[in-house]
Amino acid sequence: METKTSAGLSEVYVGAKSVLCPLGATPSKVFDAMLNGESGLKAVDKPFGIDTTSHVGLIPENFILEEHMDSTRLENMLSHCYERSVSKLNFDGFQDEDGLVIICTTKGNIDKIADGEDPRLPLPRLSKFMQQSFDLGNEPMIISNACISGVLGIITAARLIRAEKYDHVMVLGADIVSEFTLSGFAALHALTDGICQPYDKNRKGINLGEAASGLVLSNDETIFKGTYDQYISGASSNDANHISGPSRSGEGLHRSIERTLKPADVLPEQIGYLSAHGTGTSFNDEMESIAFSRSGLSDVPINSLKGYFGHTLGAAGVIEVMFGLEAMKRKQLLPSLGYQEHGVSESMNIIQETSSPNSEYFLKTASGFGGCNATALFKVG
Amino acid sequence: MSLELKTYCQIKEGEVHINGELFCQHMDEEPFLRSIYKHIGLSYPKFFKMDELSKLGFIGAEMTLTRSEMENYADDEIAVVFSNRSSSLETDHVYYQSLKSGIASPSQFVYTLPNIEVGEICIRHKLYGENNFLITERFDAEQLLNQCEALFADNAAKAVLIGWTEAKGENHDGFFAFIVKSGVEDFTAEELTNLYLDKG
Repeated sequence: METKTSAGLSEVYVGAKSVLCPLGATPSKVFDAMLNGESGLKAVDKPFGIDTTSHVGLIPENFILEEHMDSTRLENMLSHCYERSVSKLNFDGFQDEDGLVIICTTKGNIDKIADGEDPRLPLPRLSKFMQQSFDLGNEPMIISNACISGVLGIITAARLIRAEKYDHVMVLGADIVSEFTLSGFAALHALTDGICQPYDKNRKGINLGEAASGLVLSNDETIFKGTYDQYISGASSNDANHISGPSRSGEGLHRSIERTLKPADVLPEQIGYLSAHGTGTSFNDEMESIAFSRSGLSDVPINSLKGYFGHTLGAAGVIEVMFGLEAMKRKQLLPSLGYQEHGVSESMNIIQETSSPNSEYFLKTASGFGGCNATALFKVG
Repeated sequence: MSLELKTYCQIKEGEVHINGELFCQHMDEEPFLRSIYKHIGLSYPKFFKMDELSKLGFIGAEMTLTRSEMENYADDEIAVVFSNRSSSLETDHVYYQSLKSGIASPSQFVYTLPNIEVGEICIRHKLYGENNFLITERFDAEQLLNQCEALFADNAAKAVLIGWTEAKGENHDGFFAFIVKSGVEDFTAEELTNLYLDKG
């Protein structure tokens, strides 16, 4: 049943969660591990030959179940999430033209770069692979917009539904840890020793983790076998400032938050939980504290999930929205792992013990290279 | 939702066309994009630090935006939605070679994301609006115009600079268009494809 919001836009529902990450292969199992304070980030001796003491989040081989003909690690991760998300729907896949799959990734099969001209390296391969493997009715869309790819994928899905282009959109986010990305962040001196400490005084940088995660957005809530929530609004905004450093004033992030809350008529103080980007780098976390303060969000319970499974790049937005929705549903907001002593200039209400949200609104933000920022608002319960 | 095309620009095979008219040709010894940069009298030193993909997007945006009455829009009302097939693969290879030669270059690593070119354009033109970068097998007019309609329907933008940029050495395939919401006209994906294919 299609319903409209007061602004005349279709309601957009979100559900059918799936995940594959170092902590497990189902949302409930991974969430339980996080509740126990477990981290999927482990010490590896010279991971991919890179000289770093930074822990990495690698998915155990036995988690990646599905194998197709010449499929890659990343494609097996995508397949896992596609199948798990479809299993939570009242139809058996996206074979019809009213459905679309969006793949959010920064680097796709970048582990194939060593082979030079491997045909699996160019990103459109992912789209073809998914369409052929699952007989999809439309060629999947690929979004590659740095670390906001996942949140942007969710916003794009909702907008396409509201513009009546599709009825149902599955958003899959996925990236692997590879020699390529790990060496790059090492070259930028952006990797932490050990495990990252978002917003902490002693934070030193990021961990990389690999993950895939899926969500389905639809104008029809009856497609979900289990629970579902509501997507309310979202926006992206560029800092127009620097390609690899965040704006000192948090301009783009602040604007993306404003442009998300205003059309929804939701005030900052109504937000029950804010899942931030919180990479653990000095500049990112500082920028976020400023943007959140400017946006009136300093008192909202906030965490970064990066300490549990690292920065998962193109998957980050999807996996973090997915676990944000799960936390709201369970009324268990998770502690921001690695945070001990406040280390950013503005005050923040960082979650230190598992707690219950005091409203139904959940806000997710992300920021990335290229000066991009994205925010999405959900209503849970 | 009706769409209107304001301006378009094609950069391909040593020629720049604006709204279908030849604007300039590659005549000198200099790299093509650098010669356009000089031809239009730009002074923007950061241009020389960019990779080829960002240079192409930068020049295309310059040509298109400056002919699209962008002063009529607030700084967050113009969205930039780009697309290509190869993502940042050319620079990925350059970075990977630097890694294998023993010195991984951080400045090259930064350009191993396709949306960096969108960031460069936003910095140049002070655009704080929506961004997106789509990877498609070929120029996909329907997906690009769907994005415009979706942004307009959500009141997230009043105009969209759409782009397709492929750059491999001195081979460039750049197409840029400034699309606005319209009450009258109805610019279609078929028309856009024809313009891209030079059949306009």
